[in-house]
Amino acid sequence: MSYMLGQRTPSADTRVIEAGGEVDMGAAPELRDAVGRAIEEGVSLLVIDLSDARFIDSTAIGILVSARARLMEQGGRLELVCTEPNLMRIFQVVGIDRNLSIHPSCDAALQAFAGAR
Amino acid sequence: MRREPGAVRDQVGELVGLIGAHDGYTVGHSEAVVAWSYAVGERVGLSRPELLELELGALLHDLGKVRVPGAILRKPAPLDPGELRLVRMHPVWGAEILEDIPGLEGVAKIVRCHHERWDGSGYPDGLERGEIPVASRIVAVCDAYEAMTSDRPYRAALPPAAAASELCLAAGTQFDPAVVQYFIEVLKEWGWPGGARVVPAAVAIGGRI
Repeated sequence: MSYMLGQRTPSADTRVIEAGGEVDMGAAPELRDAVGRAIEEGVSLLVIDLSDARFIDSTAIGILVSARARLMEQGGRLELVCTEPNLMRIFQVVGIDRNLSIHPSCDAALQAFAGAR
Repeated sequence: MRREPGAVRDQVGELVGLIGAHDGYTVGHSEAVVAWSYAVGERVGLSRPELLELELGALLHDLGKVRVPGAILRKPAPLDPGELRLVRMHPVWGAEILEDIPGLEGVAKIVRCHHERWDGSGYPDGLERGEIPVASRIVAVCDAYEAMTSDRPYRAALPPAAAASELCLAAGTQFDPAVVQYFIEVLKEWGWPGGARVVPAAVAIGGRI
């Protein structure tokens, strides 16, 4: 397995999903489940932490695009953590960098959300 | 059996002229689809002969629309079920025309399969995954992107990034996810808008057959 997935719940309405390695078709079913559960549980903030991701493929991007739309519909937010330039460029290409912020660290994402409340 | 290269080139030129006379939008659209398809095909690792076949398949993918009344192609509203049934015949009709031209049997197959879907819910044959020729899978993605980013009688064009994100949403259901990935790589490299359009129009392809 070339990907790693983990998740934690820093506060009742916040979920952090950490996706590392090669976030591709192999990771997609597990990532889709984790994201879907968080949205169904009504989180206000979902952070996808891609700090340790080396690659992201079209299926995983599709999951992020869909998650962003579903969260916006229910008044929540999706935020990304990423510093890898190649991934950042892909996010620009598919426009996922609009309507959400991309942060350099998970702490920065959580603080920005807390500050915006 | 293969014809003389010049004969095939002439035939392809005639077919492109036929498409243009019937529906001007389709020719410009097809040329853009050729440019995208070739770039994706190179990244997929297709051989030179496969790339040439891909180019022709991309150029002629909508050939069968010459049998669809122009009023339906230009209708500024959603199609009714009968009209939709006619439009959905175009891959079969295009392939039928090309199958009669010796040397273009492979191109006919690409054209027939360009509306098949990765999950098997496409048409005309309901093929899925590897059953669909890779060239058809490439044309499907490039065709969809080009259609989404063009103004049509019934809707405005989507911005490139929004169209790219739509492709990602359909990766693994409508589209081969690996092909979408390669397409995104091309977008990343070329930038936009209109990166594809600086590539010479595919009418020049005939000279390389």
